[in-house]
Amino acid sequence: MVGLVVLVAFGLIATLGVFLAGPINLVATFRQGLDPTLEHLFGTDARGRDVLNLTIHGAQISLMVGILATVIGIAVGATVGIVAGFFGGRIDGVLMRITDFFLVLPTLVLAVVLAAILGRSLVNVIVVIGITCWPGTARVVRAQTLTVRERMFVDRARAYGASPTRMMSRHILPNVLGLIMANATLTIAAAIFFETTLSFLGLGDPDTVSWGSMLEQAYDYGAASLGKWAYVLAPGVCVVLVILAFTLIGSAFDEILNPRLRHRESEAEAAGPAGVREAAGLGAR
Amino acid sequence: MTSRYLLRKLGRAALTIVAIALLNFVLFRMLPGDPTRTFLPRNVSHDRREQIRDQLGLNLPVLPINLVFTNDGPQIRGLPDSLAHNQLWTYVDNLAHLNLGDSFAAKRPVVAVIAERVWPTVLLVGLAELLAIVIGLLVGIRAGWKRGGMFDTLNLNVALALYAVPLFWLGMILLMAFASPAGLKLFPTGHMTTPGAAFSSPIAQLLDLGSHLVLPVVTLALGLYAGFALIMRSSVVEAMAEDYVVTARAKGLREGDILRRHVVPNALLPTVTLIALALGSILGGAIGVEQVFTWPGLGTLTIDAIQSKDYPVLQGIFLILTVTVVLANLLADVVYGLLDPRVRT
Repeated sequence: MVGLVVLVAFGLIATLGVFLAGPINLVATFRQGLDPTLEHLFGTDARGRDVLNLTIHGAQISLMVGILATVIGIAVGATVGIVAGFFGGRIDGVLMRITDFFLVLPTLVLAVVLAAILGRSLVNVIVVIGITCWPGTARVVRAQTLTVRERMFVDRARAYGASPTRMMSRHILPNVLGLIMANATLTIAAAIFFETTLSFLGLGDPDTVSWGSMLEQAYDYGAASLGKWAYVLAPGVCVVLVILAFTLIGSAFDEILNPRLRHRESEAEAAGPAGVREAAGLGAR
Repeated sequence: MTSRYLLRKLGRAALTIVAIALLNFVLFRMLPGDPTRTFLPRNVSHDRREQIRDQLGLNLPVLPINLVFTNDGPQIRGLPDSLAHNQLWTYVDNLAHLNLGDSFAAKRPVVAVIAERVWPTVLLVGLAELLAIVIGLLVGIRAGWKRGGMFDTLNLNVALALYAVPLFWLGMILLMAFASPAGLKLFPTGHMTTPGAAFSSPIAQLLDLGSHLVLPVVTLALGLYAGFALIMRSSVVEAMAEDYVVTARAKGLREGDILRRHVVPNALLPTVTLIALALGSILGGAIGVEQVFTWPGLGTLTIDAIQSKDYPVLQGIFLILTVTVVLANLLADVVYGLLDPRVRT
């Protein structure tokens, strides 16, 4: 519930930012590094721009990158999971081997290297996050597909002579959709986390303003050692709130849809080391 | 442990490392444009550029097959004269000799550049992991033992909140609070030692290093402890429901003894695996935090390599970081197999 309220608030900020704070403040208009005053509630940044204005407009980019990257990641993950689970056999074996390979790779390191190779642009950041965050989804969706596949209505569709594509899209997909949505909410949290980190490491789009790029500029400016509280806190607190909101909603989703998963941690143990690693969130850092 | 289990895990790890090496080869050949443009001055002569391309092996064909692009798509036209005369062979051959090429920026072998940055990172992240493990296990035992109590609820909420915090930002906050003029000026703002300082004794030097370590280690430990605490908590909760705990209770053992002798030893199993896995993330675990505290480790080296487009160094870092993770996974599997007979299938 709290998560939903926070999320709606940030959704409104992202869409109505122009009305709240006026047009985006891209060029230097004020003195640099001012402390908070009534005129500039969060002070001004390293280039003499209003921090509050940038934070509000940053919501747009941060949320957009998170959502679009998730769409890519979930599309890849769900497709791999459904195809592997539905066909089984050799196709399953090959797809799961590939999935496990990407599950082992440290996600952030792969994302950093890919982003460095592809160059700094918004599209690249989205693609990089999208193609690094799919393996977890593929695993979960495959497991669910395996149980759905055994149900009566799939057999009946097969008896009618439905094609595999039709069976997967009409019979399997609707039954794993809930799981996919729950996974998507958690993936958005991870994607926003990654956008922030990539931008902070200087791999984001230099021409757009996101919370991550604000933190990068704050760091370059030395805002932390200069003690510019508002400049460092504003974008960071937003990141934390949004990620927390998505995580809360995602786990609530999970519990409603899948009461069996209520003991996620113990399931993770049953799944062995890889499960433990995922449950501990080691993959994301 | 059956040798079949061990062999299968070994085989899988070896295969993964081969796949990583190939991925590394492919990734860095996806780079658009001529790599020499990133480090040669613009006005260098054509001959000189070709000479350097020759030196770097960039004029060789990429794969040991003759690929020809026709209107019908790529086609393979027979085998080349020599299997060794291509970039893939050169790459594999160099890798086998632990030769990762020369750094564009430092003009020294990549292996040497990386080697001198490994120890600061191992020191920093190793200490943080150690701290996180100790705190995480103690907190997890306490929370699981009194499940649903105030301590448990508090810990779950703190863990949830810490998951949402980017560690580099937490580092900036701690820096601001404990090292900047705006907060308490207790610790230095960065680096591993005070620049240009002369130390009267090794102890003074050690103290200086220690004061530089405090903030980054605390930042990382805060980010890492929650994982250990959550796993330990859930396995304590699970162990407490086992028959042997009920038996121990029925025998009238004291609560403290039940916890120490019956619950904790059994609950440690999943945590041991997690510790083995955590070893894998030691090298790559602190890129952002190292940057914030200007710690001279692999993380800052990564950032420098990205900024100066030093691709050989980046390639080497990618290789070493991913391979350590695979080896840690192998270790975790082996430890798990040793401790839990049920998985040895």
